[in-house]
Amino acid sequence: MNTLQTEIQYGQNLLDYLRKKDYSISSPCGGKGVCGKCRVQVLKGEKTLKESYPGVRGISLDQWNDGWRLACKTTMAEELEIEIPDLWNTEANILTSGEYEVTLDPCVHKTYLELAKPSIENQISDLDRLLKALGEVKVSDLTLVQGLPVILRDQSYKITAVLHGNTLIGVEEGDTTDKLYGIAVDIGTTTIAGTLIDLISGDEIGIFSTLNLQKNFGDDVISRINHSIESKDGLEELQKILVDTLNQMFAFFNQKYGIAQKNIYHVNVVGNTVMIHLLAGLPVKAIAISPFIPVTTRLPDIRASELGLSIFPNAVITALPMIAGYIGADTVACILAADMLEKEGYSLMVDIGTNGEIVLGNKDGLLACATAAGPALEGAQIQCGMGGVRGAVNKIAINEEGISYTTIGDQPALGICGSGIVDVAAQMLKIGLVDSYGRMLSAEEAFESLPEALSSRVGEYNGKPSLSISNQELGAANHIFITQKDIREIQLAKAAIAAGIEILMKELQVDFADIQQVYLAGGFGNYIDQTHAMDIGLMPAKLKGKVIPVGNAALTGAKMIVKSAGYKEVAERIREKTKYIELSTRLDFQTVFVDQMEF
Amino acid sequence: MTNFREIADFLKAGNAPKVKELVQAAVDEGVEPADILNKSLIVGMGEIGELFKNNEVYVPEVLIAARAMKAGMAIIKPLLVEKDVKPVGKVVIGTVKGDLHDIGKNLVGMMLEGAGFEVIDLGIDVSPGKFIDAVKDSAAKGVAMSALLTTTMPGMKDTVEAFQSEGLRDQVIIMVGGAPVTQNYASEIGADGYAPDAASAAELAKELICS
Repeated sequence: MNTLQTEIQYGQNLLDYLRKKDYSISSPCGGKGVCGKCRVQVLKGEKTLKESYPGVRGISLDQWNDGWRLACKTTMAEELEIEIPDLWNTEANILTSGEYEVTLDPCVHKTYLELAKPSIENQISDLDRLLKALGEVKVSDLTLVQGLPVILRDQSYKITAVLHGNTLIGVEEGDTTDKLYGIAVDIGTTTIAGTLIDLISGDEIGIFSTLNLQKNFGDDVISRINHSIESKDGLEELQKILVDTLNQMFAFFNQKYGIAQKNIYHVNVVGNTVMIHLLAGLPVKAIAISPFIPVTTRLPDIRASELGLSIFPNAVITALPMIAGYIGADTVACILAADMLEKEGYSLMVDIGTNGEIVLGNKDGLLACATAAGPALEGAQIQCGMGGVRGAVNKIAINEEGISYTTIGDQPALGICGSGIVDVAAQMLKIGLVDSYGRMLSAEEAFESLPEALSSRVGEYNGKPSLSISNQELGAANHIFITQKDIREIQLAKAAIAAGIEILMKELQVDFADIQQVYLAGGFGNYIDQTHAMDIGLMPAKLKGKVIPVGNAALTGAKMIVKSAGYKEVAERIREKTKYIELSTRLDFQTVFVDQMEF
Repeated sequence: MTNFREIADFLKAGNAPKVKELVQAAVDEGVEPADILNKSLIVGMGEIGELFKNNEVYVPEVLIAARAMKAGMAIIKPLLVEKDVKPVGKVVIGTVKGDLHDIGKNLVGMMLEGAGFEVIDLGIDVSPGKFIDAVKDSAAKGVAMSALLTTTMPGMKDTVEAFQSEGLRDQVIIMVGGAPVTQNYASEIGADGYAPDAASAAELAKELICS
């Protein structure tokens, strides 16, 4: 917990104030007072503490009386002393691995040249002298040409030309051919991850990962689009967050690995269509409204300086092609990484992230949909939920003797993350604490049918049953528990994904037996216990034995293209051969969705 | 003897097979379909609605309860038609032009059916013209609109005005709802009512349309 003494800011919203003070507090409901995640404890503040309980969903009367307030619903009327829980920090435990082999052929390369010096017999101009040595090369950057005469003479005509394909993007002093770096970035709705790659050796040098701070404007893509529409500088604000995060990433690589930021010449980005648009500062209003039209599905090559990125100014910023408003570059990257378009048999890709993209198909074509599973499986909407960061309970075991668990980083438990949520739901179902409709037993009912070690943990929260996982006495940092409402949220999330899978199979007339492999991607594709995922119906049980966790497949696909430019064409082909179906316009989605709600 | 309370409870628990079984048994015993509808199905959905309003049950429970009701309705609907039992009212429902499918709109539809209304769901992206045509075709008295984004809300105003210019405004009750919508906005655009959630919507519809 951090204690903060605020300034006097009459009339300002507390959440806005805290954000300006760089406190990153999550607001999945977008400031409507519903989710309770922005709770802070007011220690000093007479007027504020005297206010009467407003009866909003995000905070209970008991919490209110203890001085807790919702930052999003608090208007500052005085100086306050507040405690900010550190549930949401920016250090993330994000999956970044993936295995694959590619031939090294990046889109940027360098050539060291020792040019003949000019003389009366050799009066070729500076630029022509350089271009002749390079062959069929274009140049369009005026500043580059402006700097040419000085650098040529300073370096006695010994320089390194930096090229993007056949375009000259830089001229460097002496021989710098051993310094050529690129970065693959996955801009997820919830988490951002990037890998630094040495483009001379092909080695992956390091990884940077952090939470996407756009979550301050809402956990889901629609809330953020709304912000860009409703707020005058909304689009710029959202763009700036991404640019700042990337610059943070570059600085991190510089500090940790000693790589000069000016030696980074290519950044390849994947993400859903909205994220790519926001990075480029493209308006996203039309994506939110039917018929859901993106500004573009192929981002033109941008230079780093155009976005304010602190790497080589003419560095190339590229993005994989996007498919539709809600199926983006990350899905294309996943398909690329899993090689789905090369396979004879059907493969299924499920990305258990905020947007729940699912793809089914084979070399003849692919069908994709987005189920907006929601951030429940990434921790939001769950009472004690949190992202996959240190202190998150990531594995839970429930048996007759009681409950045991592990946390990320072996830290005292702060909350539960996605894999822990799946574990606990599956086991509560197994021991009978939750029925197939999702109803939890009350304490009385649990007492009748369960061993004491378990029934003693069943209590109440907001008048409904809750199961205590751990508390401070038992060594956790917070009281960790699962509520009836949490089970309902899990039902909604898993029903969305299961329904998406069912509908894709129906559309392509594919049976479970026809599916050769299932790629499970996402922030916890590797961490989620597959048996438990099938027990709760998140993954169809009939696909047992065919599931291959692929971690952050989107990042893998992004890396492939940084290392080998030839994959760009494959990505284009994927884009052409992937059709998108809009679930919300299907009459059967609602029925299938409700059917899949049962465990 | 048919236990209406039992059917209502199974409906609330979302147990569709049980509801189907008991409703069929009641029909076989000769119980009036209208009684089955009003004393068990509508009672059950009404209670779920009340619990939902008070945040004592959540969206999944409402959805599976509605599914259980549908299972029961499938059996008695043809009988109700045979006996010329009319629904308490007809409501045309949709999300306005340019707007996304909203689970909220579907919940409202379910709660309205749960209250005995016949619901004509026009889906998403419904233009004012489509609302008007639907009202003309079905002689529905209620028009319920939802919007998810502040940018699409004006579609509600357009629809109200369209009804006015068609000379149909007095023949319909227009209700609005959705995340960004408020009572103020409803009054501003000349709608007849606003409801913050599906259960209140059904109650409001009963009040405005059936009285």
